[in-house]
Amino acid sequence: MTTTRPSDLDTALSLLRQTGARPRSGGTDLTACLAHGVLAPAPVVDLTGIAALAGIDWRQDGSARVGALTSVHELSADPGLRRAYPALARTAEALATPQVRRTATLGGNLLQRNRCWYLRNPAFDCFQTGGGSCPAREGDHLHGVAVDQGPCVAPHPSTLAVALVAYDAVARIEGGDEGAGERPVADLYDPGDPTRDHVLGPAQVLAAVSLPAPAPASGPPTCGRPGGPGPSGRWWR
Amino acid sequence: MDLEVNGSPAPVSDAPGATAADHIRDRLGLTGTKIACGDGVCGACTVLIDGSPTVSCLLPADALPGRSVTTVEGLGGAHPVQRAFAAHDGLQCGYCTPGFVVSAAAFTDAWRTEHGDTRPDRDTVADALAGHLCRCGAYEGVFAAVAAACAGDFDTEPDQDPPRADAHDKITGRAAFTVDRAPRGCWEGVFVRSTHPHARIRSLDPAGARVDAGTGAEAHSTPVFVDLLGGDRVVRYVGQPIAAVAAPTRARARAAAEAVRVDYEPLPAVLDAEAARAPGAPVLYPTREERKASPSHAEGSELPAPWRGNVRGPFTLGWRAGTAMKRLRAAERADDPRLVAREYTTAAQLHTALEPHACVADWSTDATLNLYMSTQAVSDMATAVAERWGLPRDGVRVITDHVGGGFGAKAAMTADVVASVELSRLAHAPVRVTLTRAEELTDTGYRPGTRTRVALLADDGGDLAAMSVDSYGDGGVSHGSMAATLAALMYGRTPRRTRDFDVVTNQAPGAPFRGPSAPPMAFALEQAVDEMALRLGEDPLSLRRRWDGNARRQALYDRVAELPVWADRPRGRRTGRFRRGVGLAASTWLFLVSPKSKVELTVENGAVVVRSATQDIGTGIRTVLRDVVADRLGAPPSSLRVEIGDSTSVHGSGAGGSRTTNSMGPAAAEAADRLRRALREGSPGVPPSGPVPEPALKEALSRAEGLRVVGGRSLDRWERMSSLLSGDADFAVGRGLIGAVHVMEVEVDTLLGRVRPTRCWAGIAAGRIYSPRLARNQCEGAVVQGVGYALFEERRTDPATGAVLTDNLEDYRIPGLGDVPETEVYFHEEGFEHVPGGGVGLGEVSAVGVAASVANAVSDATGWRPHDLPIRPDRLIEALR
Ligand SMILES: Cc1cc2nc3c(=O)[nH]c(=O)nc-3n(C[C@H](O)[C@H](O)[C@H](O)COP(=O)(O)OP(=O)(O)OC[C@H]3O[C@@H](n4cnc5c(N)ncnc54)[C@H](O)[C@@H]3O)c2cc1C
Ligand code: SF4
Ligand code: FES
Ligand code: FES
Repeated sequence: MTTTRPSDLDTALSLLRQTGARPRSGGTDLTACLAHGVLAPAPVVDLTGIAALAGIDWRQDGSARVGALTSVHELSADPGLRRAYPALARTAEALATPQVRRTATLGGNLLQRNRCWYLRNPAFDCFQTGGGSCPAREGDHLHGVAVDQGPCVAPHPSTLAVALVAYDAVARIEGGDEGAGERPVADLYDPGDPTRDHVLGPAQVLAAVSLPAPAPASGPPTCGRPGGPGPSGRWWR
Repeated sequence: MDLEVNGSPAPVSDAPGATAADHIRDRLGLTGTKIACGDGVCGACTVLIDGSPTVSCLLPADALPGRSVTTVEGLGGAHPVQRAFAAHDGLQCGYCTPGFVVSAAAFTDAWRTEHGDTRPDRDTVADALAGHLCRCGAYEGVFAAVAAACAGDFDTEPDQDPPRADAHDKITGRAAFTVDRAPRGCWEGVFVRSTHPHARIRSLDPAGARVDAGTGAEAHSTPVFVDLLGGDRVVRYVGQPIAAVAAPTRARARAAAEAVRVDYEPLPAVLDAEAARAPGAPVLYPTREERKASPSHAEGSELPAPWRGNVRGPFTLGWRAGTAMKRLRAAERADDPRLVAREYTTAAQLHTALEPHACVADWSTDATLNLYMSTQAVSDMATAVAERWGLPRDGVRVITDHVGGGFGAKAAMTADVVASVELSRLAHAPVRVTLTRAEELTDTGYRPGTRTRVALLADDGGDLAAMSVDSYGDGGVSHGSMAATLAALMYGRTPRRTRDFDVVTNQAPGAPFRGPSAPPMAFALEQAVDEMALRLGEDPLSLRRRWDGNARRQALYDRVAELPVWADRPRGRRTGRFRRGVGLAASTWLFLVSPKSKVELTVENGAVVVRSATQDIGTGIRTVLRDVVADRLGAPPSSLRVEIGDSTSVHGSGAGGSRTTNSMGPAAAEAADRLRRALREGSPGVPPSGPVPEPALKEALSRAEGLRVVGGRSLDRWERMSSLLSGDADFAVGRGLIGAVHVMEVEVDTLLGRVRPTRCWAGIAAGRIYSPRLARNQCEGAVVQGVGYALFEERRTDPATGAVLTDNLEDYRIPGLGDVPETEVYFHEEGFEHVPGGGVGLGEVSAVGVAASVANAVSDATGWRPHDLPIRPDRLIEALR
C-alpha cells in the first residue's frame, strides 16, 4: 500500500488512471473505512500537495470558487465565506469535532462513504459492499436517517452538501474517461444506484466547488432555529 | 521530507496503513497520546499538527512528513493549562487527559492572544473542547481549569501541591496504562469471535497456527492458537470469544485470526426478552449444570432464585407482603386515585471506559507469571490467576499502575487475561491482548436493561400504605438483577413486596456497573413517588420528607428546602418552545467493606513508602493513602511515596461496591499509628500526635531504616450487618445505608425534543469525606454518567442477527462538556460515626439517582412523565405532539 504525493494535477490524474490508486485528501474517512473493513487496502495518491485544488478565490461577479482541499475548519472560519454563505460556514462549524475539521477537506466531505452503522459494521454485507441486500431496511435505524428513495435507505451523510445544494453550488470534476466537467452538487449523488456513494469514476478528482454570488435582495439565507425565545445557553452537537 | 516531533527531527513511518497515532505511540514510543475510540470522536489521540489540535487516529502516518507535531510530552508539564488541570483536578483516571490538555493548551494560548487574560465562559470552553470525551466525567474541573489558565492564574507554579497525588504523571502523559506496556519481544493477541447468536462449534481449524509448545525455529515466529470454548462447545451470543491467536505483530495476528475456520452448527436463538418468554421458545440453559455455569452480572454473590425456561426468579423480599398485596388489589378494584401503578423501562448502558480491557502476560519462563492488567482488583486477580493455572500465589505478579476507567467492568477475570496467559505460554514470549473499541462495546458487559412495575398506594392521611415492585432484568446470557430488592430499602417499613426476575437471551452478558441495579430502581420508584405527589397535590419534597425514614437523607432534604434552584423553581404550566423544570430524586446504596484490606509502611532510604495491592481507577486511592498516612504520621504528604498496583504487596481492596476508600483508609491509619509508635520508641522527640517537626522526623526515620509495619481493616461487630451478599469474597455489608438526594434543573426544547440539564445539586450523605476535592470530582462525574443514562445512552443490537450496532463512540453517545449541568456537590458528613474513619463509599450512591432526577425535571417542565430511558428526542416529540 504505497502513497505518492504529486504536486500537480496532471500527474495525479495519470497516476490514478494507471495505477488504480485511490485519491486521498485529509484521509480521515479513508482511514476510518480501512479500519472498519469498508474499503480494502489500496495504493493512495495524496492530493494535498496540489496547489490547483487549494484556496478560496472570489470572482468579479461576487461568486466564489472553493478548492476541494479547503479544510472544513477554513470553511467555517473564512471571513468572506461566513459573510457570503453563512449556512455553509455554520454547517461546517457544527460537523464532527474541531480536531477532525482541521484536517478534513471539502472534497473528502462531499465524497466520503456512507456513515450507515450497518455499512461500517464488518458483521454485515450490503449493496454498498458488494452484497445483495440492505440489512438496514429491516433493521434498526435509531440514530440514522432512512429515506426510501432506492435500494439503499441511507442518504449520503455530507451535511456540507445540504448547505451547498441550498446555495446552488456546482462541483468541478477533473480527469477520467468521462472528461472534465461541472455538475450541480446535488448531481454528485445518484440515489438510484446503491453500489456507490457518488458518481465520480475511480480516476476522477473533485477539484473545486463554485458558489454563485449571494442574491443581495433576499439577504443571506438563514439557518438554525426559527423565532421564539432562545435557550439560555447554546446547544451542542 | 522530514518530520519534526516536539521540536526534534523524528523518523517517518514505513509501516503501510499506519495512522499517525500508531506511529507516535508504537514507533516513537510517545505513549502519552492515547487511543480510545479510534474513530475521531473522543479526542484522546489529539496532537498539535503545525500548532492546531488534530485527530491523530484518523490521520495517515504517511501524511506527517513536512509537518511539525507536538504531543503531550512536548508541552513539558509547565504549560499553564497543565498546571491548572492538576490544581483544579480536571481528571480522574487520566486516560483522556493528554488529549484534553493538548487541545486546551492551544485554545488557552489563542484565547489569551485575542482576549488578554480574561475568563472564557462555560459555553466557549465547551465549544472549544467539543471534540473531547471524558468517561469519568471530570468536566467541572476541566471548565474551572481552562478558565483559570486563560485568566493567567497559572503562569507560575502554584504554591500548593495538586489535590491528586498522581496528577503530574497524568497531565504530562507519563502515567503508564496497561495499553502502553509493550515489553521487548512482545507478541500481539487477537480474538476469534462468534458470528452466530447461538451455535454448537463442530470443529475449529487453527489454519497453521501452532497449538502446542513447538520446537526449534518455528517456535519463535509461527502464530500460536488457543481454544477458548467451554466444555459444551456452545456459543450463546454474537461476539463470544471462540479462540485467540497471537503473532509477533498485530497485522500478522489479525491475518492468522481471519484464517481460522470455525464450523458452526447453528442453534435456534432468542434475541430479546419477549422472544425468550414466548411459549415454546428455545431454552438457553436446559440443564442444571448449564444454569449453574451460566454467568452472573451481580456484584458479590447472587440472590438465590428458581428457574422457569429462560426466566430466573423470583427472588422475593417482603415485609407483610400479604397485607401489601391485599391493599393494592383492593385499591385497584376500587379505582383508587391514590394508587400509582405503572411500568418503566431502562435501556442497557455500556461502561465505555476509555482505556479498553487489556492484559500483557509474560509466561516466557517457568519462573513467575508476570501480568500487566487493566483491572479493578489487582490482589484478587493475582489470586484468581494463581488458582486457575495451578500456581503458587507468589508465582504470579499483577501490575496495574493506572487504569483508564473500569466502572465495574474490570473487576473479574476477563477473556483478555485468559487469552494472553495461554498465548504467552505457547509463544514463549510476552503477549499483549488489547480489545478494540468494537470489542469493548460488544463483549465487556453493560448495565442490563430493565422492565419494572411499581405500585404505590397512599392512605387517607397521604402516608404510604403499600408498595410492590416487580422487576425483570435483561442481561443477555447473564443474570443477577436486583432492582426490585433495592427498592425495598426505600421509604420506611410499610407493607411491601419486591420480586426480581431475569430473562436470559442470546445476547452478550452484562457486568456490574456503578451501583448495579440501583439507577433503574431509582428511576422507576422516583417517577412513581413524584406521580403520587402530583395526585395528592403535594410538593415532591414535602412528600419525601414525610415518607422517608432515613435520617441522613432527612438532613439533605433540609438543605434542599433552602436551595434557590429548588425554592425559586418555576411553578404552574409552562409554555413556549423552551421550558424549564426542576426535579428531585432520593437514592440509596449499601455500605460495603473489604475486611481483608491491608496497608504496609516501610522505611526505605530515610523515607516512608506506602504499599498495598490495591489500584487507582481514577477514584484517587493513591491520594487517600498518602493523605491518611501523612495526617496520622504527622509527616508532610510530599515526603511519602505511594506504591500501589502491585500484587506482591499486602492485600488491598478491589475497586467495586464503593469500598476502596473506606476499607483502605482505616488500614492506612492503623499502619501509620503503628509506625508512629515504633518511631517513638527509638526517637522520643516524635510527639504522640500532630505534626512531627522535620528534624525529629528525619532523625527518627534514619534510625528506623528497614522498619516495616502493616495495618489492617477488620470489621468490628457494630459495623457488620449481614453476610447475605458477601459469600467468602473480600466483601462485607456494613451497617447503615448511604443516602443521596439530587436536584436537577433542565431546559426542554419542545420543538426538537432535546433536554439540556442546566444545573444540578448533588447532596451526598456518606459520612466523613477523606479527600474533599477528589470526592467532589467523583460525585460530579457521577452526574455526568447519570445524564448520559437519562438522555443518550442505549446499547442497540440488530434485531435479525443480534450484532451490536452501537459498537463505536459515534453511535454510542456519551455526554460531552456541552451536555452537562453546572454541578454543586454537598456532603452531609454525619451518620457513620460507628465506622472507623467515619466515612463510607460514595462512588455509587452519587450515580444512582441522577437519571431519576432528570426524568422528574422533564416531567415538571413539560407535564409529560417519561416512563422509558433514555429520554430520547423522538420519545419527547411523540409525547408532546
Ligand atoms: C466523529 C465524526 C463525525 C462526523 N460528522 C460529520 C457530520 O456531521 N457531517 C458530515 O458531513 N461529515 C461528518 N463526518 C465526516 C467527515 O466530515 C469526513 O470524514 C471528512 O470530511 C472527510 O474529509 P477528508 O479530506 O479527510 O477525506 P478523505 O478521507 O481524504 O477522503 C474521503 C473519500 O473521498 C475521496 N476523495 C477525497 N478527496 C477527493 C477529491 N478531491 N477528489 C476525488 N475523491 C476524493 C477519497 O478517495 C475517499 O474515498 C464526521 C466524521 C467523524 C470522524
Ligand atoms: S445499502 Fe445503504 S442503508 Fe443499506 S446497509 Fe448498506 S449503506 Fe446502509
Ligand atoms: S482515539 Fe482518536 S478521536 Fe478517539
Ligand atoms: S479522566 Fe477522563 S476518561 Fe477518566
